[in-house]
Amino acid sequence: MPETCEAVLAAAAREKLLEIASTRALSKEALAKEAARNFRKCCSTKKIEKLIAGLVREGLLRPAVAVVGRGTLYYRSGVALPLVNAFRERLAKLGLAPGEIDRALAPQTGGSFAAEELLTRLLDKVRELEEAPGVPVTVHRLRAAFPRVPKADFDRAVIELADRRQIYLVPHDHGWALPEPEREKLVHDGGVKLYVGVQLRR
Amino acid sequence: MSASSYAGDERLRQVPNPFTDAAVGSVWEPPLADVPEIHAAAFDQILRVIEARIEGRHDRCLLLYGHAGTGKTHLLRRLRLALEARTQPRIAFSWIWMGTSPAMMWRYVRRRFAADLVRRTVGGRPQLELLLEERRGALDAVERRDLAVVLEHLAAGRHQSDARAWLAGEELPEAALERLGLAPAEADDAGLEEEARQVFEALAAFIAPAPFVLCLDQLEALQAHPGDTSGLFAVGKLLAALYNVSNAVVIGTVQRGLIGELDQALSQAERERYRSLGLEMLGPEQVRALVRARLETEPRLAELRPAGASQFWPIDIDRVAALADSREGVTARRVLFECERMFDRARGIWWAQVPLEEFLRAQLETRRQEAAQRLAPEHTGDILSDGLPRLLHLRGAGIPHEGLPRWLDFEARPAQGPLAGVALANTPPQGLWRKLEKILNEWDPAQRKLVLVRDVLHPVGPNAKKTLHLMEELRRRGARWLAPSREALVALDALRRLLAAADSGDLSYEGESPPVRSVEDWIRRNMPEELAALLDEIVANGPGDALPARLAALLAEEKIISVARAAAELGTTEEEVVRCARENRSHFSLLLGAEPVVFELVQAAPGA
Repeated sequence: MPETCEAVLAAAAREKLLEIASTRALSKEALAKEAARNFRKCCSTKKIEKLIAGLVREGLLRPAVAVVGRGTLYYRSGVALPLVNAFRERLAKLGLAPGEIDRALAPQTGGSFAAEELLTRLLDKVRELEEAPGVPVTVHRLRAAFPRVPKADFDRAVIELADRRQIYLVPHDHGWALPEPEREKLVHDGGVKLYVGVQLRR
Repeated sequence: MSASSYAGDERLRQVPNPFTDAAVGSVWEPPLADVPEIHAAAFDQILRVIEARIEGRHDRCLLLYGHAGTGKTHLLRRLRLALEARTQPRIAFSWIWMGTSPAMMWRYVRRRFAADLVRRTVGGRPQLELLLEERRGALDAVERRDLAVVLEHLAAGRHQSDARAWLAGEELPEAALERLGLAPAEADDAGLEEEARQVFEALAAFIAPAPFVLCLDQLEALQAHPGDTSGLFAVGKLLAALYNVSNAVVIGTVQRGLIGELDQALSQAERERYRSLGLEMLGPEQVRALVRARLETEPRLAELRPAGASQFWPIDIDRVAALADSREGVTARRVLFECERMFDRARGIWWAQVPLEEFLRAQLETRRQEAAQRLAPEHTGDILSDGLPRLLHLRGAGIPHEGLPRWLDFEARPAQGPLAGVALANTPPQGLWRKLEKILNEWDPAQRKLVLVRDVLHPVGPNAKKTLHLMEELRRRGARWLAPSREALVALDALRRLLAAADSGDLSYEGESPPVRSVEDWIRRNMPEELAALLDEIVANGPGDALPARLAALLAEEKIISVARAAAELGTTEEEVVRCARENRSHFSLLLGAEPVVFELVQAAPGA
């Protein structure tokens, strides 16, 4: 096969792998088999398994070891849903009803009433400060309303609200170029992202 | 994006991909699929403000925040189409990409506003023609004589080309001004800015009581670089000034990521001059509506759809709608990008990822070709005043604007070496001598070196004797004159637009904006030679570079001095002083003898 053809096939197979892994967490074999089905013998399962290894090295796929008794499952980095669904499937097989699973996986408030309360107060404050629908509220203003909350807690709460799909986060496009005191005024996701504002989801 | 095909649905290959053109480049583009429910609230709000203006109620400017690719330009295009459909009253519409510097913003706004009135048509007729037809009786009330004269000419169909050029603030030869019945203006840069503002306001008053819509797109482009506060101050000043134009409906658009900086940079008074509007990120239902609307632009798809397939075939709509769940939300541009790729895949076309470097090279080349076509004397002022600070910043120079004399456009403060004041001197010859005289009187060579820039599209004719004399005098005192070539101007225009697009998040790479840092790094590594040389000239800091200016400053006091004393005063060697004098024969003269002396070479003033 010409080299360019092979490169295109490899690119296509990588895309397919990421697409599948965005919706389901599967074992390496199952993931490779599923992807290979799209290529009608043009690309062997073995080759695709190599691609999986490459994607794991690049951090685009993540392996999760032993989800309730199963082997390693692979899913797309940054997309938690496939793994959560795999977990649900296993719990269902163990006899739990869907409602029980939902309740068990719902955000816990028991041990962290303060954290839950902070989320509510934060959301109320965002609503209060929002100038008009769709206009972000700056982190700077929001933070000023919670002077006693430690920065780490504040950041965690803002991220949590975004994960619960109650707000959108507005990234700062050159946050890392700012001097440290300025950067401290932004919300940090713990990774590489810095956020300058939040926007209510409707 | 390069693509290869190897398999897929043959029938789909006959159908053009309905998801291409994810970005709306301009509001003047023809209408495409629109989903009115997307951004309906913001659109209604804008219409309400326009209705209020029609009824004579004054309101604040609107500042429209949106993430790159959310559909700001799309929304303004929707507005343009809606306004074109109405005639009572007719509402003029102007859309200006704010790619200029704070120092030239009024000249830029005047030029672009005039261009939109003159060139953009409604029902096949230019907007200005329609306005003149309806408002002819108001010509007598125009306060500025020059504007009244020019509008009279345009209404009567006389001297069209010269009159349009004047309206846009272009430099006209004296003969053309005479034909129009206007006197030549002798304003310096500050005067030209003020004049541009007054002409704009007078034109707005002529249109009144009907309102007009002025869209100032990507206000962040007034910043020379991310974090540039002087650009943000300019946004505040501009909105505050336009607030006073009673029939203007001003809609500024700005990246939502800039909200924090604007919030801190602008005064309370300035913030009260505008009202914020926001564009929401797309929810799953809006994603579905957008995809459906695009699919419906290709009726053949309904015929090709397999029995039992979803109405979104061949798009996996659940996967696309799930993009709305991310922390930052999803934009229309991102949705269209994913769908474009998915559609191509369904017809057997697979995209190989193009490295960012290659993508940027192609983007720059496109902009370079556009810049070459656009290059004209009336544009080079913007190119230099916006482009040079952007690139000097990339080279690591600080660009402070505060505390500078008015004749200086900006200052380059390199990491090492002397300060370089940069004065752009594309001013028309009638006003240039004033500027040069001021510089000559106020510039202190010991404080900063001076670079004067006048590009090759603005030659100074042999008759401008006073100007030529002042130019020479400044050169003699150590100022450096740079004349950027056509090639350098084209490259500078292309690069500043590429940088502005990166800053505004308008470069769509893999459906996302590439990080500004990566774009800047690439530009640093791929600086076109002609530009690199130009920047070197500005921030060069070798000892020889500063010596002529320092020697000139010394001789301005001493008139004549021994080489030995000059060397001691300047902290250099006698050989260096002699070399400097010899290399600058038009400025200095040497008398060699037992004790060599150096003195200023004074040229006779013109007419002397």
